Amino acid sequence: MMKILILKEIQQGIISLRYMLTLVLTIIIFATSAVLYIKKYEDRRMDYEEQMLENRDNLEERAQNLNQLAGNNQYVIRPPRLAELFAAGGEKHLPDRIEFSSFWYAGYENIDRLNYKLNPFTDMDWVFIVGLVLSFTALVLTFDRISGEREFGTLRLQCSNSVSRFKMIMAKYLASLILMAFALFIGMIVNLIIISIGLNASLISHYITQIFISVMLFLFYLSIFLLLGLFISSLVRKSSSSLAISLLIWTTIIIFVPAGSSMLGQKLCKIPSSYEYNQKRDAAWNEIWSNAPVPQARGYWNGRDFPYLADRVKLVNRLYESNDKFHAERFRELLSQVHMARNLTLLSPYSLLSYAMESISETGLDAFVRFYEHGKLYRTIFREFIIQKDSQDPDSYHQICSWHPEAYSDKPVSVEDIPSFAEPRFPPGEALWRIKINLLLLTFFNLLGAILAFGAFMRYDVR
Amino acid sequence: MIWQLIKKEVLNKIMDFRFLISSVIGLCLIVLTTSILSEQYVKQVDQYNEFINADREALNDVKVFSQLRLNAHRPPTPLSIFSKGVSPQLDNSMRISHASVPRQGVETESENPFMKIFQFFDLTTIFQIVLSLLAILLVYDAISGEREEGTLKAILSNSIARYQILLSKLTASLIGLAIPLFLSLLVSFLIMTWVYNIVFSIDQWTRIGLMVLSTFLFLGFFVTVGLLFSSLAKHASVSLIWLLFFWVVTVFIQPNLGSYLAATVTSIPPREKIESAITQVWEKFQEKNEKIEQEIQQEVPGDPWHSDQSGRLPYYFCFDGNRTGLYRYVLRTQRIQPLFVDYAQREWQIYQGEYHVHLNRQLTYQKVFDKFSPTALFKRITASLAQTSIENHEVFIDQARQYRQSYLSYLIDERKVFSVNANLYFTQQTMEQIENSDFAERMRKAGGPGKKMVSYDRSYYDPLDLTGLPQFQFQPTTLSQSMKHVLLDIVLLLCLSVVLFYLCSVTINRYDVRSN
Repeated sequence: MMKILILKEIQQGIISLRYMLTLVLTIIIFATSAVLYIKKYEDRRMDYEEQMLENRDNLEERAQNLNQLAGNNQYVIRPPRLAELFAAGGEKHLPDRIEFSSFWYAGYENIDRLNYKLNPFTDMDWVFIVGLVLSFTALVLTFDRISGEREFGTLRLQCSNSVSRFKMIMAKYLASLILMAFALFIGMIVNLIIISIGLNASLISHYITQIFISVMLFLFYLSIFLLLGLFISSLVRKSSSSLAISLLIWTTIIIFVPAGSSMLGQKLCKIPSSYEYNQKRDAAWNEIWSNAPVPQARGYWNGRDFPYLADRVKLVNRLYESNDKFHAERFRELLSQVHMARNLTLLSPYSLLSYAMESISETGLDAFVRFYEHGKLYRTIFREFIIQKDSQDPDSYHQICSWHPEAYSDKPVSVEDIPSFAEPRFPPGEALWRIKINLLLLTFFNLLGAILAFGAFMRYDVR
Repeated sequence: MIWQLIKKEVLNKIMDFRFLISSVIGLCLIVLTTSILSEQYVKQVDQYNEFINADREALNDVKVFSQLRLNAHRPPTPLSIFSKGVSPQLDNSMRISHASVPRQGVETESENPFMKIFQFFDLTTIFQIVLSLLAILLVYDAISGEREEGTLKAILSNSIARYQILLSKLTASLIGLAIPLFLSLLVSFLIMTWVYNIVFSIDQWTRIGLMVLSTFLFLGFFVTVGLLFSSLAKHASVSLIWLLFFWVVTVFIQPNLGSYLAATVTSIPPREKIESAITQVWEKFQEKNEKIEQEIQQEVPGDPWHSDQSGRLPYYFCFDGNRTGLYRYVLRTQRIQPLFVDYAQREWQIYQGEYHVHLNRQLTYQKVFDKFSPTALFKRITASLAQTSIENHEVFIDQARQYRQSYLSYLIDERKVFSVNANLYFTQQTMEQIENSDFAERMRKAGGPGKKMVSYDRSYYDPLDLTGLPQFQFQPTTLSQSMKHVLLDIVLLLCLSVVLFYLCSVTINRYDVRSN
């Protein structure tokens, strides 16, 4: 009986105008997203390769002289990832290049081709399509499933059959889920076909597991909206009221909760302004300089035979260590504010889906923080390499300091010996573990939706 | 008769449950958003004042002209609560220096750059989403619904033209929408003025009034679209489905797609390219600098005195206590500092050249795509009126550039420059004047035989008298300038509604009122 009910619901849904429009809109938007992404990905790939080449050339040139290699800035760069198609994660605003030398940290920046003159926009990734467009269509498919049938009088007829109400609503829910899944699959297939033609088909094969997990997550997410639609439809008498309530709740949780929570997060977690930060950092620098344990070390540098060479090098290195410490502290402060805002946005299933997808696709803020940590680690390894190479030079004074290159080795090093930077990729299983909270909350929303929808329908007056 | 119809329609609409629920949710969102945005604005004002005071204090401490660190700050506007435009991604402070021309960096120094990953919204976004949805919910069954219920027949049996019925429905819907709109605005103003003490000028009130009018134009578009779909469809449920898809595409997808398309269809060169072109300019500067050093060495032979190798003036310098060192220093200053101005101009030309052309091309594309999106048009109109659009920001950058020019004139014209300082910018004093100055005398005494090098310490000197130093005062765009930017958009939005209303009239005149 259940099967028949589901089939009937699917047949009814599939020929409806709203489902046809859903299908057309889904296909168009997935196809547009793929076409635009190809261009974007190619540009980014080109920029990345150019940057890597330039960095390599610079290293080769500086490898002729160890102190040049140590004192000049170099980069670690994040490669563009195809997975940004699944979840862009605000990557266009996040830095993808860290600049540093073995002595100082120069900063992080974004090499994306951003045009500040354009209005702010959201990337049309899978999260945007499913999170916004398909969740909307899920509500449109279900807003009158109960109240609409009551208005037409068909609900009475259905209830007069020997089918439990539980089975009836279950059939409606499953049929809607199947219909949504079908639209989603079609859209995703169109998207992936275009990507395979436009880019390299083998690229996609690296992301099969991620695609599979994404589909599961999307269905889990869409299910919340189907249940919400069914719940509100079972709560009110008129389908028009059900639609108004559903859509207003939808706009609130999709648009206003994520944006409002981030603004609230900024308010709740206040951090010192960049002006205050700069003042503190400079004051610490001046204090170290003024309170140098050996004041003569501050004196004018007069070549390698300067009697306070070791003290001066220590002093200069302490200055840069202090700057590094301030920078690390500032980074922690900035992140704590973003995390506070992000935690507040978890009230919205849309944010839950976005963050989960970012984890799966290794994009977004967390991926950047991991990249930053690896960059820091690489800098330590690079510095140790400089110290080790310098220790092998008998002519060096072994006083490594950014201000005085003459105080340490100027011998050439082999480019092959220079440690290279590589960002490790996480297995998808690990990503699943990282999104456990998101999964738990999505499950909670699903369960809540199911209890409310099923409960409301059990008590629904079909007259 | 038409007034009776309007009255009936208004009553019908405001008694509707959909109307009540939309108004309540809209009001809650408005209260929350106004509080958060007002607090943000107050914080921005505090920060602006902090910057201005810090700059003023720094000026009191300036001992030499090379120590001058001038900034141009743009004051925040309370209208950003209504529409943020492109302001969240732009810098509101510009460094003013003879060695660089103010320009908007691609990377801006915001308080927390990572917060950019979040979306933001303003009051007009709420109106745009909630009120447009309410507009659709109010009119989707205006014609088809009445036909289904059979009331359309009864109305048409009266001696009233069909277009008048349509007009009454349009007016009633707009009146219905005006209630939550004005209620929300009233609550917003109460929060802004009572809780956060935000005061608006007459110009700003006029702009708010125009924003409200443009909101009506925008809502008018949705009402007429709703009426058109309702008069095209036989059943209210069909018009509703079409309208819902139209709404989601028009409000969410289309305006976003416009910017996304503009950013993707045409590429801008990677920033690295422009930066390497700029680096090349400064490398040429360095070459010229070295050549000048050699020339000076030939003109005034002797031990080269200590200076940093970058060619930029050191904050301190060492002076060997004789005339030659001083003379060489003056020559360097006179020849190298004007070069900074020259090369800063070249850097600016590179930026303004090909790169800027690409940025503007994307902007033009976006503007063209926006013409097809009523929501994007509405956003452009409100941003321009709220002085947060890109055009307003460019006015700020232009003014910062003009300010730099007046600062340069001040530096060049000001004859007092040499009074107490060592780091001379553009000085036109003769060597005799320099040699006879207090400064030269003091340096000679401090140096002299046996004391080869003397550090120059700024704390020896009194602060500079900076009377006559130009001050930056931001002149926001006037109302007429703002209107000039958006007049076409307003006309387009109006035309869209008029055309749609005309189509509605045609459709309703051909409408078969019989219910089957």
